[in-house]
Amino acid sequence: MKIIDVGQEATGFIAIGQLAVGVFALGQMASGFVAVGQVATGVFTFGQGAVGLVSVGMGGVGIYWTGAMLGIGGRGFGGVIPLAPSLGPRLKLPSTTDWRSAADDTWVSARVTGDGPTGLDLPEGVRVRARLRRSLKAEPPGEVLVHVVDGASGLEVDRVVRIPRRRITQPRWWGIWVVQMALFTLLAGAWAGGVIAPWLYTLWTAP
Amino acid sequence: MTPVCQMCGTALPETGGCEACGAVRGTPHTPPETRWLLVGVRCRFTCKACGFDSPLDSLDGSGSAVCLKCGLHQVFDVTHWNALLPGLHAIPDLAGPKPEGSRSDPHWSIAPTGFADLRQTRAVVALSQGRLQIEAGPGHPLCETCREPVEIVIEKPGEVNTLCPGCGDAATYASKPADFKVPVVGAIGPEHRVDRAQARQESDGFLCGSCGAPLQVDGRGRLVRCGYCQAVSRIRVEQLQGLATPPPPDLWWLVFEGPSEKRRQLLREIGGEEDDQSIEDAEHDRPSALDHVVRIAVTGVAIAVGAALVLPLWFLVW
Repeated sequence: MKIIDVGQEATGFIAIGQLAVGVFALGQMASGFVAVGQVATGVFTFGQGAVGLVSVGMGGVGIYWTGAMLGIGGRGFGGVIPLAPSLGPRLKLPSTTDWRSAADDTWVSARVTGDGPTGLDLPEGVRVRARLRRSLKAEPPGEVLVHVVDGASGLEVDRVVRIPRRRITQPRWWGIWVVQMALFTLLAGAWAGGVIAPWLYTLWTAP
Repeated sequence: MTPVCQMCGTALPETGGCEACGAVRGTPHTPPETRWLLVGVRCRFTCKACGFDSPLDSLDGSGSAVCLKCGLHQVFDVTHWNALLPGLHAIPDLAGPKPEGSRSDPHWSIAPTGFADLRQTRAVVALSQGRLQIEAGPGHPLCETCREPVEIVIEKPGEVNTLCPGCGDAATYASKPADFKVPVVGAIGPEHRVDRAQARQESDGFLCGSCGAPLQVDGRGRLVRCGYCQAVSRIRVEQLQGLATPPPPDLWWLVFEGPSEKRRQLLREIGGEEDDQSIEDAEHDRPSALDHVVRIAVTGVAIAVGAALVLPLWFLVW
C-alpha cells in the first residue's frame, strides 16, 4: 500500500482523489479511518454526506455520534434521530430535609396525592400558597419537592418542583428502547458490512 | 378585635389619632366580636349640573340622587355602587393587623393581600368610580346616643337591628340589598334608620316629627333630639338643601357577610388565572457517567450483533 496516493482513484495510507480509499482519505468520495469528502464514509467522517462511527455533515449517519442537519445515529446534534437508548438526563435537585427540621428556605420531599384540601401530603399546619392551587389540582399524582418558607402563620409551601419518574420504571420507555435497539443494531450492522468491511478489504488488497 | 376611634368607630392605626374624623387618640373602644364584616364609608357624588361633590349618605339603588347645592334631581346609576362594593367588602375582610385578615384559610395562604397595612399604618382607603367617591375604613358602628360600640343583629338581609350594651338604645335600619350585585347584607346610618320619625320641613325650618316643636338643625347631625318632647327625629340628607354651607358627608356603615370577591380571587376560587403559579420541572444536569457507560456498551453491542448478522452476507456477496 502506498504511503501517499493522489489520482482519480487513489488508494494509500493517505489518499487524495475523486475516489479515495485510505487511512486518511480526502476526495469526492472518500473512505477512510478519517475521511473528508463530498461523500465521506469510514470511522471519523466529515462531508456533505457522512457515514461513520462519528460523523459530521449536512446529512449524517453516526453510530456513536453525528452532528447533522438531518441524521440518524447513536446520539447527535441537530436534526438527528437518536437510536442509543438513554436513561434520561440527570436531575439537578436541591438538598432536602424532613418535615421535622423544615424551616425557612428549605426543600422537603412530598407527594402529590390529588386528594385532601391541597392535593399534597403535608403535615398539619403547613399551608400552600394559593397561587399554586389550580396547578396542584391539575397535577397527576407523583413525587415532588416543595420549597418551604416561614409564612404569615407558620410554614408555607411557595414552590413545587416535579420529579419525573425514572425511565427505567416506565413500561413505555422499555417499548421505545426495544425499537431503538432493533434499529440501532440494523444500522450498526449496515455500517460494519457496508462501510467498514469494503474499506478494510480495499486497503488489504491494495497493491 | 383592634381598637376603634371613640368618636366615630373607625379603626385606629397603631399610632396617632383617627384618620377618618380627625379625633385625637383618647381611650379607644374595643368592639365586640362579630360575624359581620363592617366598613365605615363617607360618600360623595359629583353633581352633573354644578360639579359640586354632594354627600351621598345611603346605599340607594333607586337610580337617582339629589345635589345639596343646586338641588338637581339626577340620574345616579346603580352600576357605580356595583363597581365599588366588591372593594368595600374587601376592606374589612382583608384588613390587618393579621397578614390575611381576620379569617385566614387553614390550607391556603394568600399573603400578601395588599390590605395588611390597614389598621396598622393607615385606616382609610379612597375609592372612586365615575362620579362616586368614597372614603372607607374598617371599624365598628357606635351608639348614636352614648358612643359605645353596638351589638348587631341581622335576621334577614336589609333589616339590621343594633343594641347598645352601654345605654340600651336600640335602633333599626332598613335597606334594599337585592338592588345590588354584591352580597351586601345591610346598611347602618341615619338615612337608613326607620325607627325614628322623620322631621317635618316647613318654610321657616324643621319641626319635630313627634310633637311638631321647632328643631335646631345645623346640618352636622342627621338625628336631632327635640328640646320639648325629647323624641329623636331623623333628617334626610335631601331635606338639607338650601343650607348656606352644604353639610359634609356623614359616616355610615355597610355590612357584609362571608369572604369577599377579592379574597376568593386570592384563594383562586374565582378568576386570577394570570397570577397562577405553575409546578416547575426539575432542572437537568449533564448526562450521568452511568449514561455514558450505557451508551458505549449499547453501541458496542449493536455493532457486534449487527456485524455478526451482516458480515456473513457480505462475504457471500464478495
